[in-house]
Amino acid sequence: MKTKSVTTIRCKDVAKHICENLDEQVNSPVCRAIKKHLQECPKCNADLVSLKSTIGLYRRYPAPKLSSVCHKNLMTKLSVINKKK
Amino acid sequence: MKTEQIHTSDNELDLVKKAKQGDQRAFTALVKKYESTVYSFAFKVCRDEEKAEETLQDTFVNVYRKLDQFNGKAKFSTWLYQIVTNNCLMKRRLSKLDQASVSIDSSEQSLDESSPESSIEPIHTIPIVKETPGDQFANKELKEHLDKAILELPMDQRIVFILRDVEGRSSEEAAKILKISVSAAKSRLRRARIYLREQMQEYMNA
Repeated sequence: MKTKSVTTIRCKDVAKHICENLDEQVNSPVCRAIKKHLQECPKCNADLVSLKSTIGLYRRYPAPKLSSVCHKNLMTKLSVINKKK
Repeated sequence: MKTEQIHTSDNELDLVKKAKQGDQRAFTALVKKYESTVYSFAFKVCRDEEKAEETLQDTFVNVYRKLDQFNGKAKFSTWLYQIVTNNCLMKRRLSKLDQASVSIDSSEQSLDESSPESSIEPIHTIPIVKETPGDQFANKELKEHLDKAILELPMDQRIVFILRDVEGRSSEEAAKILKISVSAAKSRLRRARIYLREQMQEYMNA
């Protein structure tokens, strides 16, 4: 793939890249150029911060614990299936 | 993020092997090991405890019936996620059919039109995020807003987002679970992330 130089990289490219590769261990020339762009572009940097924050909200959203009743119902269902087999 | 990392260990392969041979204790051990993971994932996808329980039951019934088809080439957890994901997709399809039977004037079309599929342009004015305290989920309105936003995502984007960003799976594994290419998984993830960020803007202060 032909890589883009630091000077020609656009905010749109940065947005696409960080939305696809955030948290991935990428160290390609494009990735390095994007990191440099992020240091110099307040808008793209704000985009990145808000994206991380949104993801953080969903990561911290508490999922309910599996109840003992729910576990019991599951085991009962599997027991019925086993008997039918 | 703290994520439960699950690998198909020798012990687990042994359990699978015994369960395939009809050992009920081995099968029960597999159920106990993964039931919380399956329930939690199902809840995150459908945002409904009742549906999550139904999905949990359907998933392990399928595992019981299809265990012979697990060949060990993928991790057991990947295979399990494929089954849960299929059940979530199936439940969604059935739900759509139910809605269609109730009203032919369903809003499905307008939902599709306003879905993130058509709104992938990057946001141009993003406020700086205010860090929220740990007890932020005591805020019922915030939870409802998070639920609403994620439920508006098309199911394929929602599942990729949850696998990748909430469950901490790699893009490669998310692609394998959904049986799509890695680039397709990344594309769906990008759309989901952008849409959710747009929807959560009001909770971020300058």
